[in-house]
Amino acid sequence: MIIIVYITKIISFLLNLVKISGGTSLPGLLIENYFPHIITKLSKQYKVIVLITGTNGKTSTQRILAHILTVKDMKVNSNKSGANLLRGIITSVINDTNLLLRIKSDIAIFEVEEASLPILTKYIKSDFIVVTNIFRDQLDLYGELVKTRNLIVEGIKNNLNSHVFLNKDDPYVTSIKNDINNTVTYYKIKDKRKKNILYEILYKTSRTQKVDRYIYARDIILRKDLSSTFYVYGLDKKSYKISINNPGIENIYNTIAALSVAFKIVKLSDEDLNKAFLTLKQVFGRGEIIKIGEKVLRLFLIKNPASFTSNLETIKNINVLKLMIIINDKIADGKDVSWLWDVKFSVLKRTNISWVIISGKRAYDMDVRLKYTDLNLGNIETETNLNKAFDIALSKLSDGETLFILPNYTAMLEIRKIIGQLVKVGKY
Amino acid sequence: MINKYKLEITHLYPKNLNLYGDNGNIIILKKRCEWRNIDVKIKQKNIGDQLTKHSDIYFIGGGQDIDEINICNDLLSFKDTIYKLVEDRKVFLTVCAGLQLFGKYFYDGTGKKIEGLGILDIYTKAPSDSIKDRCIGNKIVVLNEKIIGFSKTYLNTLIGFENHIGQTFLGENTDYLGTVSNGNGNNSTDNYEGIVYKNVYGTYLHGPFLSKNPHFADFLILKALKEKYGNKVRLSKLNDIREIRAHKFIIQNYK
Repeated sequence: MIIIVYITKIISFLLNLVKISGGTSLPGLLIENYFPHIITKLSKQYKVIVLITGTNGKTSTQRILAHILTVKDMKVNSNKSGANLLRGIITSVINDTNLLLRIKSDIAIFEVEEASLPILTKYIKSDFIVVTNIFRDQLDLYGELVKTRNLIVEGIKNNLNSHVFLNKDDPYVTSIKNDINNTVTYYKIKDKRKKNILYEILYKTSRTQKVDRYIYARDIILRKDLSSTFYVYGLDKKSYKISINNPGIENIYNTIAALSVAFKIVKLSDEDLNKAFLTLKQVFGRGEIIKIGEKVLRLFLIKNPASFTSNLETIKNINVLKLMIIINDKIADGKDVSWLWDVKFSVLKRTNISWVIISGKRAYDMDVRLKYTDLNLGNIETETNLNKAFDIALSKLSDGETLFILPNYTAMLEIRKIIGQLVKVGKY
Repeated sequence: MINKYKLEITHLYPKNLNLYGDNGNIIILKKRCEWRNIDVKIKQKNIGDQLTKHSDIYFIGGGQDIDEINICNDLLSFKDTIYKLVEDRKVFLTVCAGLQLFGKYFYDGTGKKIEGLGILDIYTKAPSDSIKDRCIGNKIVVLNEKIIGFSKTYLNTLIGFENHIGQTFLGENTDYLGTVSNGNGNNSTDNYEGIVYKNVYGTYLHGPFLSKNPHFADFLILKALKEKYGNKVRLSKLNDIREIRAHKFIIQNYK
């Protein structure tokens, strides 16, 4: 076992040295295929393991939780954004060992792709599992929504002693309780502005869960600069006032999910939380701000109807909106772009839109979708070549103005690369 | 115009069968009527609702197996009404699960038999429950000219995406909607796409497939208007440059 871990560590080191992109999961792939039990042994050394799964919000919830715990001087290991398949998580564990094969961190927080959860939980015994939401997403990979839900159930069943945190506002997530015997804590938002979140309706309800205790956020203030303030109840005996710069209602969900788990791990005071949220950085591509001279770009990842709609909801009050939408159809995006028709564009009906530029491989699909909305979209330009499209967008943007860029997954990688040729951007 | 044309469209089970933006087809039919000053009314029929006999176009979309099973009994309770509507040459667009339910029967991935309306001479079997057995991908269909009658000068293809586990087979002497030049079709073996019976059109092009097929959307609208107002009805031409650009892009890039 020692030798194998050393070999993978060396490979990992070499890959980092030559900066082969996409190579980050190779050591994990080796172990996944040949020696999965190594991961069981290594992961036992963590004091606490948290798994975060669901369609949207995995990365953000992970980052927020990791940051809160780091502020409390705990050593946290997390997998890299998007490296949420088994191999990515194994790689993350291997990289967290020292030369004596001792795990360096106290706590592991992994975001886990839904279909990987039942496999991962065979090898790793977690203490906490968070299920953020179950939205329609990449149905060309998963086939059906019910399957996604059942994979999560199966995953949780492998970790009988794990404390499970479920989003009470999502009927699909709430229904998971019907099939598991784990301890469950619910969290939710009490605010009517959540109505534009596209939770799926579960028509077959075997049993409705009677829930009288949950953690919730209320008295929410959403500001024009996209920051927000709200109160969280149910964490312990008192309420907590939280202010975040991460935009939108969905980040309030991510925050209460992270807080729900954090309070089970460590004692937290108002001062701790203030310190944590003051220093919390934007997660890459989730409302991230990039400046090119005096021109401002804000990037919002849109992966599926739910995240597209909630991001439109987040930016709907911007004055004179300038918008760039980029839609690709690679495997990581989902090859099927039918989902564009499930996006609720009507949330922009009162928004003053100055112009829209559409790009990506499936720009024309997006263009037709916009044609059939009732919106006044100003000037629409369509250019499948992203380099050209970005040039057009920049030339239209005056100093001091902000361009809101909404790309799906591989489009996000591409646009960051293009922006990276002009200014320094963080690693995604 | 002396008399303004009126059309009523009923969306069958939108709450259950709307997995891939199926509602897009309704939006497209509605808009294309409105742009022509045709008075259009959209109705929805979900489980427990009555089924109106007065619509001109009926649309039923795709969903998960569980949703298909859930609506099945409700749909079957309107069997006689739907038979009558089909005989009266009302226009039906049936997609994926909808197509399967208009057929004779459907064996799902677990081997469970689901009874269909039996209006279409087709049957469907799912080989398994596994994602590996699904027919998934972009699809290009060459329309059956004998049935649909589009001339070569206009678009004679249908473009869309398919994602289905059910393998559907046509009965003898059954007309198909088209043949597949790229993708699977009704099943992964015989190359046929969809079915046509009277004014019932069935296809596995799922979700908002009319978005890239404005000619087929207009074909359905015209069909319904002619049934109602006689053969002299003409549709005014719309500017479809953006839709046709999306249509042709797929043909050029996904062969």
